[in-house]
Amino acid sequence: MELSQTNLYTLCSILLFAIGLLGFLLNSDFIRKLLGLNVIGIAIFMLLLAAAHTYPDAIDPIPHAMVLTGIIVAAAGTALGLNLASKIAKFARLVQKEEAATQAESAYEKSSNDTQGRG
Amino acid sequence: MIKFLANNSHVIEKALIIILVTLFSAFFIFAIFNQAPHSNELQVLTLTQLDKTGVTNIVTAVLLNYRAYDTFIEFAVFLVVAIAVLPYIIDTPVLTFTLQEESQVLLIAKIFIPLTIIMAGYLLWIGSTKPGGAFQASALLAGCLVLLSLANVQVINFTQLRYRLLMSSGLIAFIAVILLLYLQSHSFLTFPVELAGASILVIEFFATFAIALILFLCFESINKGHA
Repeated sequence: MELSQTNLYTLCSILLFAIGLLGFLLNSDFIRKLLGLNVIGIAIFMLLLAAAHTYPDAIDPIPHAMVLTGIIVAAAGTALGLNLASKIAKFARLVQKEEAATQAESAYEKSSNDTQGRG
Repeated sequence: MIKFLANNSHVIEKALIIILVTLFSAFFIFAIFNQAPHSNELQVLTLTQLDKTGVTNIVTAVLLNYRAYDTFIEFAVFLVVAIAVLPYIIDTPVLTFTLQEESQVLLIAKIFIPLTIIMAGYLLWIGSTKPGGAFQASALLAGCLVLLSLANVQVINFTQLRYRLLMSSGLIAFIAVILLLYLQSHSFLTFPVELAGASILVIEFFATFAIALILFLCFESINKGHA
């Protein structure tokens, strides 16, 4: 196996795929997961572009067309994912606030009922 | 032993994931480099049939003639994304069209936006013969809109009907062209040779604005929708 440009591209795309997969699996943060998914997508585009180069002076147009549409779909999907993530963050903040309010309320009730013991 | 496993479950999980991903990528590399180089039958077909497509750029021919079905469904996917993202922007108050003080972004926008619009038109026009087309042009137009949005210039109010129509115009134009050609030739999604170039240009023209608007809507929903 000689290290031609196509092979280098293929190798790099697989490494990028592994990096993206690790980023997706090892992080629990939504935004980091989304970034990992994006890196995976870019790795797949790169793999397709490398596969499109078949022999010198010839390029398979079908993977190119797929990548062209895929990039924009990936961008739209990322936007949707980010929107959902921020909605989840907003909701989590709301739940936290409510929990804090109920805790404060119960603490206040306890202290008003029983001045000696505090929970 | 069980206690040790329970205490270090996070570390063990991560180590397992790393080992599995490494194994997977090693297998992937092995599989791809042991694969025979793929045959060029499809490529030869695309090249020999090119004079029937109405365009001379192979990628455009693949996108809008050979695999027009894919592109058609992709436009539908865009519209679905726009509909899914639209609720996030509706609640935000709409600013009136006011030029703020001369920020640097606005100065850059004033210089670059006319040039970029001309470039987008050029890219759209050149798509039939050279690399270019609706997607590249729409990315440039969306960039213009993002620049304007960063300069605090509110150009587009997504609640108005005309912008929503423009957003769906790509799909509508595609459906209209398909229906007209179906009435003429009674075959689904096949362009007659003499009309192929014109119909592809019509689809690409409307798709450019639709995709640019949808991309900008995606940006705005993240940028303004959660401020």
